[in-house]
Parts: sequence; structure tokens; C-alpha cells
Amino acid sequence: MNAIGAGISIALAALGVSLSLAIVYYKTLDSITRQPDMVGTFRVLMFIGFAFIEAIALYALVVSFSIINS
Amino acid sequence: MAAEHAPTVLMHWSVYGQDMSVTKTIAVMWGVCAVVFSFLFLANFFKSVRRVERFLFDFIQDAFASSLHTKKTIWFSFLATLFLFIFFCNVSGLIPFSESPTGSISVTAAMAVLVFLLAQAVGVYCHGFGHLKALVPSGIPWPMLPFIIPLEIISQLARPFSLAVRLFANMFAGHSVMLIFLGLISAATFPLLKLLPFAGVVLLSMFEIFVAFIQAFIFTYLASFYISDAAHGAH
Repeated sequence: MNAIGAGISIALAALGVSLSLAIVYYKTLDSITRQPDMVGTFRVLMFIGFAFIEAIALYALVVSFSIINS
Repeated sequence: MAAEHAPTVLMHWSVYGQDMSVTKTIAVMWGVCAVVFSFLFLANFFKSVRRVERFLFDFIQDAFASSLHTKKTIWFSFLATLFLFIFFCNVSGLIPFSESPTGSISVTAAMAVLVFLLAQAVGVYCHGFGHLKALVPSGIPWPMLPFIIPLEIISQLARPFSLAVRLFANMFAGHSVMLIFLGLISAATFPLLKLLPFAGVVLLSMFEIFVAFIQAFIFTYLASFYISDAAHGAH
């Protein structure tokens, strides 16, 4: 039962996070093609957004680890 | 947190029944303090070290201190200390027989609570009782206030929590994934297959250096944002 719960938690988080990462990357590429001279700004902002979004999946990873260990 | 493994105790020590044992995490933190201090101290004597130091300080000044809209050096020193300490703590997890102190929830929680209290203190210092106005967004009709104010209090209290858990989860999860890959090396029965998880570990280690930098950056960036928000935001 624990294993199923842990799997569901990380799977749902991975689904949402992958979709949002795709949106961020898509929009960044879009902006770069529109304004190629601002690549540096876009890249920094993209990585900051990546770190924020990625953290959500890692919350789920920590939760699923604690479910497995409980 | 239940996911955290028990700390390795190096030296038992108790003060008035309170457990104050020196664990591996604390020893590594002392080492990180020594490394950061000696790095900044050596910059007084060696030109090459000074060049690296100037590059780092210019980066920190551009990235964080400028978002505070102030030239006061006290904020620069606080943010630089925070950034260098967190970055070296994150990187120290990649050294063999060491572990990263930021992979322990107590360390990150202590730093997040420090940032939270500092932001509140700055808000009170700058606005006095007017700091309470931060809980009331402007342009809200008054019947909504009983619902908005608890939400704002919760969102204020969620800040240190998310700050602590973000850093902790990144470090903890990175190391757990690396540990799983290391387990795959010994689990592989066919010798040539051991190369695959080994390559994975090498790639993950490189990725960990990147994550260490990004997470130190994010933590310091959010700290500077919270402090500047308390100093002159929403008033």
C-alpha cells in the first residue's frame, strides 16, 4: 500500500511539473526568437523559473520517500 | 522529517540534559565556515584569489543587492554571507566522506527562520505599526477583509517554510537519486552493464554542482526579495 501511494504521489507531481517545464521552455524559445538580443536575460529568468517548478516535484519526492519509510 | 536519516554523531556532548552532540553535519559546517573565511582572508594577499573574490562580489552585487534599492553595505554583507555559505554547504555534499549540511532540514529551517525574522524586523523598523498594513492589500472592499487577512498571514508564514523545504528537498533528493544509481552499480550482474549507472552518477554529479549554485542563488534572491518587500512594498 505504501509503495502504491508513493508511486502515485511522485507520478502526479512529475506529470504536472513536466507540463509546466514544457510551457516555460516553449515560452522562452518563443521570446528568444522574438527578441534575440535579450537571450541573456531570458536564460537567467528561465533557470530561476525551472528551479521554482522543479522544487515542486522534489517536495513530492520527499513526501514519497517519507511514505515509503513510514 | 521522517525521510531524513539519523545523523552520524562524532562526539557526544550534553548541556544540562540537552543533547548538543557534534554530528557530521555540524563538523562539515565548521569546515565550510573555515573554507569561506580562509578564501576571503587569502584574497588580501594573493592577486589571483582577489580576482575571483571581486568577480563573485560583483555578481552578488548585481544579482541581489541591486534589487534592494539601497546602497547600504550591511545588506550586501548579509546576502554575500548567505550565498557563499549555502553554496559551499551544497557543494560539500559532493566531497567523499562528507555530507551537505543543507541536506538536513534543521539547517535550512534555521536559515529560513532567520530570514523571516529579519524581514519582519526590517518592516517594523521602517514602518512601525504601519508594517501591519502589509497584511491588507490595497483596493480590497472592507467586507472581504476577514477572509483576506488570515490568507495573508498564512502566506507570510508559508514563506520560511517553502524557503526551507525547497533547499532541503533539492539537496536531499539529489543525493538520494545518486545513492540509488550507486546501488544500481553493485546490483548489475553483467560487468559491462555497470558502466551505465556509473555514467549516470558522473552526469548527476555535474548536475548537482549546477543545482548547488542555482539553489544558493534562489535562496539568496528570495531572501533579498522578502527583505525589500518588507522595507518598501505594499505601503
